[in-house]
Amino acid sequence: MTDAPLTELGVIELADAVRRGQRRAEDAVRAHLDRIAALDGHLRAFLATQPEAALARAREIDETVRRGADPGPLAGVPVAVKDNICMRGLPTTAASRFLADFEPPYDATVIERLHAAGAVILGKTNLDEFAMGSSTENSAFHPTVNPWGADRVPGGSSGGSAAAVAAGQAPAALGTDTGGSIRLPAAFCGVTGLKPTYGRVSRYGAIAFASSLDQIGPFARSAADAARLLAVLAGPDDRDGTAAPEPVPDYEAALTGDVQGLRIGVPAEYFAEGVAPEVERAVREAIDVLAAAGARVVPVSLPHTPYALPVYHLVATAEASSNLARFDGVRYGYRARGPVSGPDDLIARSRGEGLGPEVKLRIVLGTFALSAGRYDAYYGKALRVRRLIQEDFQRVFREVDLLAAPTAPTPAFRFGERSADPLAMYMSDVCTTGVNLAGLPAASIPCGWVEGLPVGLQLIGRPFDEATILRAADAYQRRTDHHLRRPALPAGAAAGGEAR
Amino acid sequence: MPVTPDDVRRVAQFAGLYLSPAEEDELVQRIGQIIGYMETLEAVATEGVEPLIHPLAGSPAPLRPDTARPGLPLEQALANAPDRHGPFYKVPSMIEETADD
Repeated sequence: MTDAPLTELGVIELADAVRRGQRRAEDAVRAHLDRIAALDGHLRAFLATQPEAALARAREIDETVRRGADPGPLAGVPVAVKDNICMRGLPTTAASRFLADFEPPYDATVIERLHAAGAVILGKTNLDEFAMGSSTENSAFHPTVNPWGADRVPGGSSGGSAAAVAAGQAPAALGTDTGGSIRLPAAFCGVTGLKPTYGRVSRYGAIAFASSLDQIGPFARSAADAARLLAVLAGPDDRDGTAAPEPVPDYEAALTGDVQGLRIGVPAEYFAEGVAPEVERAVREAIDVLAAAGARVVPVSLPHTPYALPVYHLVATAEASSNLARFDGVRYGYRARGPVSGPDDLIARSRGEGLGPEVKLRIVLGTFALSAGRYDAYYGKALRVRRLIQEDFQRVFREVDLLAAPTAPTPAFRFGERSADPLAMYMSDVCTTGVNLAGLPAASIPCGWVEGLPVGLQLIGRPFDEATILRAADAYQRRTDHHLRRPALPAGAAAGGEAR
Repeated sequence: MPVTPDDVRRVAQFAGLYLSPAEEDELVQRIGQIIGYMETLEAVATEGVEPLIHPLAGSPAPLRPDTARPGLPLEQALANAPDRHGPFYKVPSMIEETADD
């Protein structure tokens, strides 16, 4: 395996080869930069890259290995970072015109942790503006193409990160997930994506969208690689009061391949009308694989599931309307040019010119749901139903250890297909938003194909029990090869060689 | 509850958000559609159910020692300012100049 092209190695293989001195971090970084150069004219997964800084960092890691020291569990691993996570050295735009020139003066906690573990950050990836969307079509800069089909969206909002990992531009990436923004693109692009428990990973330095829902999490090409990444990212942080003090278990040690006796609940409501029959078939076949391996499959019911999507859109937009009030054109970000009548006018015009249509829609909707006379009917009602949704999960988790369901009702859709109808676009998240409302961890892993497009299996766990999700996902991947398939990309794509 | 152009205008003003007339029309239509969907929640019985504001409600927030640590240096804090005057952010005049002089 150590002779394999560097862009085909996973996180664990590559890091361990670098630590043993068998492969050089500099070669690995160069191979991935070459592949970005070869492919990104087509895919457009990245908003910015930092080749010089990445190569310099890789040489430091190789030097550390030469000295006989250990650069860390992600030694020399190239990572792509969603561009709503602050990092020094490049702009952090959230794919918004408003932040096109914003250069953060600090690193997010997850960036510090990646650096400390020996990872090398290649660049920043595309997303729906402020992570608001399900297709990455809402980026103010350009769409990203799904590596599995040139006419297909990569999902969103972390579409650039998922596409980059699927295409071998990086073996790992960071995303954020507020209502499905890691899991949906992971499903659409055929990679493994993990949304950790609310509070498992510090959000310090992530541009806030909806603070009671947002989580940062990893993308990789296997559950084992995601386990290595999560161990680096997870843990308390005194700069984020929601980062929980729960101890971080050894996720890799949990990957035993054994699911004997594991109780897996299959919630009927996640297979309701709207889920494509081919998707349902692939997901049920995946559950059969886990059953054949010794897991016990239990039909369960989460009766408030149909209400998750409207609750999510009320809660998320209400929180977004407050969080995005900071973008005022005064201290940083876009400022309207031309005459204004005073500070209020300056702020309103800067926001009006600098923010995109979906962001404006959500700010107005959220402000409306919070306004006098509407608060109880909309926001207050949503918070009460939110509790019922969480109680559904609490009830079934007394009987089962894990839930298995589709990640998305369909495979990746075509560009423009859902843009005209906001509700059609929002339906992409019908299987994912309940998890965020309840604060649970969940992963999406590839489990089948419909007309050459990947289908995602969603595994949902108890709070802070990412280890069981990863164990089941890894057990599945030991028995199947969906996660090993790679997209056929246009000619000219570099195969990832050694440094010249 | 239907969403009116007045609702959208009023709310956009609360939100400090300039909208063109075309954007207002578009938002009246789109938000009306979405709000209609959200009203499906009316069917759920929630009497006596406590609101859930965030998912870890109930677990105590961890506290850190109350010790001073360095903040952002002035130059870094101002580095992204669209306009500045010395150590200050600069915005248009708030006090109208009178023409009677």
